[in-house]
Amino acid sequence: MVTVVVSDGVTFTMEQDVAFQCGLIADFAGGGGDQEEPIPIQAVNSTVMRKVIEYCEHHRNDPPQPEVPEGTPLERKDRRGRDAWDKQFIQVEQELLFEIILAANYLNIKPLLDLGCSQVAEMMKGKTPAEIQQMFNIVNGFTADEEAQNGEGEEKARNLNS
Amino acid sequence: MSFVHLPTELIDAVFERLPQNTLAALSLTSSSLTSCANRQLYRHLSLSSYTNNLEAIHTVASSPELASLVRSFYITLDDSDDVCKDYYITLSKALQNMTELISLQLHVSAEAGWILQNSIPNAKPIIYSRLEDFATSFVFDTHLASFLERTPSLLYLQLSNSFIPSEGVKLSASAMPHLSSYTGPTSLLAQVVPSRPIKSLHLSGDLSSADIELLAQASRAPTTSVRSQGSGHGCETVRVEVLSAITSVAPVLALEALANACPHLVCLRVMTTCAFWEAPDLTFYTRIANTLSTLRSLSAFELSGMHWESRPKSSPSSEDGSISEKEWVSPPVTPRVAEVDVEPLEQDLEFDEAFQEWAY
Repeated sequence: MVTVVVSDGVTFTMEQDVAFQCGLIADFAGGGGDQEEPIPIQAVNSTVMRKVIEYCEHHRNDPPQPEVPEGTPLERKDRRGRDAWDKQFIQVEQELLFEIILAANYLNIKPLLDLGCSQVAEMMKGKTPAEIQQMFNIVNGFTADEEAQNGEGEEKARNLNS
Repeated sequence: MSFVHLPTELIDAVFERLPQNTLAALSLTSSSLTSCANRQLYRHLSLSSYTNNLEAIHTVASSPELASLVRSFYITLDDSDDVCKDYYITLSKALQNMTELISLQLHVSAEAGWILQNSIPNAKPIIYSRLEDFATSFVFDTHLASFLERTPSLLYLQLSNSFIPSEGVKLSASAMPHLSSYTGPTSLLAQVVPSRPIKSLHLSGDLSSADIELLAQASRAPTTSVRSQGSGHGCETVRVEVLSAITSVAPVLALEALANACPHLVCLRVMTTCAFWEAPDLTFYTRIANTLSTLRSLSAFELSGMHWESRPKSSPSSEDGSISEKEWVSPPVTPRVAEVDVEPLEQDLEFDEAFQEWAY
C-alpha cells in the first residue's frame, strides 16, 4: 500500500499498482515495498487527486503501451487504448480539466496527460477566435498596435493554410 | 485556473493536436497565445501552387522571428507556376532566416541555386547547423557547393538528376562530415563519397567500372574529415549497405566488382543497360549466385527489376553450423541450355530498344 498526502491535508491510501501509474510516486517510493511515511504531493488538491486515482484504478490492468514510432500523428496516438469510459471521465468542467492536466503532468501520468490535452484540443477545433475567447474566457490583451496587425494576421493565416 | 495560465509546455501539448485553421484562430485570441500558436503554425511549411499558399513566403521573409520557427520547409514550383524573379528573391531572404531548419526541400528552377547565397555581400556566412535532410532540384554549381559546406549536420542529401557537369565546382572535403545517404547523379560520386560515412547510395546515371573502383578505394580508407576534426567518433568509414544503380558494365562483372567494393551490402539493386544479344546461359546465373553468396549481410537483391530469392544453403557436410550460408536463386527464368551457334541477330538494335528489353 502507498499513502500520499495532498495539499489540503487529505491522505489517500492505494494499492501499489494503482499508485505506481504515477511516475512521480513510483520514483519516490523507489519500488521499495510499503511506504511508512505518506508521500507529500503539495501541487495537487484532494478533488483532483480523487479524479486521478479514479483514472489509475480504472487503468490498473492495462497492458503496457508499446512505444509509438516517432512521427505518428498525435490524433492516431490519442485514439489508441481510449474507450468510452475515458471519454466520460474527461467530461468535466474546464477548471477541473486544466487541474487534471497539471496534475497528470506533475505526477507524470502520460496517458492521462494525453487524454486531457486532446480533450482541450477537441474543444477548440474549428472555433473562431471570438468563440475561443468566449469559451475559455480569454482576454485578448492586444495593444492597439497589435490589434491593427491582426487584420494582417488573419490574412497571413489564410495564406498559410488555404 | 484558466487555459492561458497553463505552463507553456502544456499549451504546446494541446496545440500540437490542432489543425492549422484552429491554430490561426488561436493566434488571434490573445497576445500570450500568439507565440505558442505561431510555433506550431510555422514549424512545418509546405508551399506549392497546388496548396495555393505560395504567398505565405512573404510573411516568413518579412519576419526573421517567424522564419526562425521553421523546422521543415518544402517548396515546389513547377513550370506552370508563373513566378517572377522577385519571388525567388523573397524566397532567398526567407531561407536566410530559417537557420533552425532540420529538413529542407527546394523543388524549384534548376538554375536558381543563387538563392542559397547570402544576399548581403561579405556578410558572415549563415550556418544551417541543424539541417539533416536536404533535397533539391538545383544543378551542382558553386552556390550549391558552398551551401553544402554550411550544413555540418547533414545526413541525407538528394540532388536532381538534371546534372550539368560544371567544371571547377568542387565540394570541400570537410563539407557534410556525417553524410550517410546520397541520392543523385553518379557523376558526383567522386566528390560525395570519399571521406564521408556513406551507408546508402541511390544513383542515377551510368555507374562505370571506374566508379566502382572509387567505391572500393573509399571503403578501404577511413574518412579523413572525422580524423581531422578529432570528434572522437572512432573510425567511421564508407560502409555502403544500400546501393541502387544503373550500369552499362556487364552484370556479372559489375556485380563481382561491387561485391568486392562494398562487402557490407544489405540491399542491392542493379539495373543494367548492357545489351544482351541472346538470353543469358546457366553460367551467367551461377556466377551471379556465387558472387551474391560472398556478401554475408545481403538480404535483398534485384537485377533489372527481377527480385532474387535467398534461402539457407542446404549443405550436407556443414562443418560449422553456426554460420548459416545463404544461397541465391534467380527468378524463374529458363536459362539457355546449350551453346548453339545461331546467326547473330541484327546487331544494329537501337540502344533504347535493348534497354527496354532488359532494363524493364
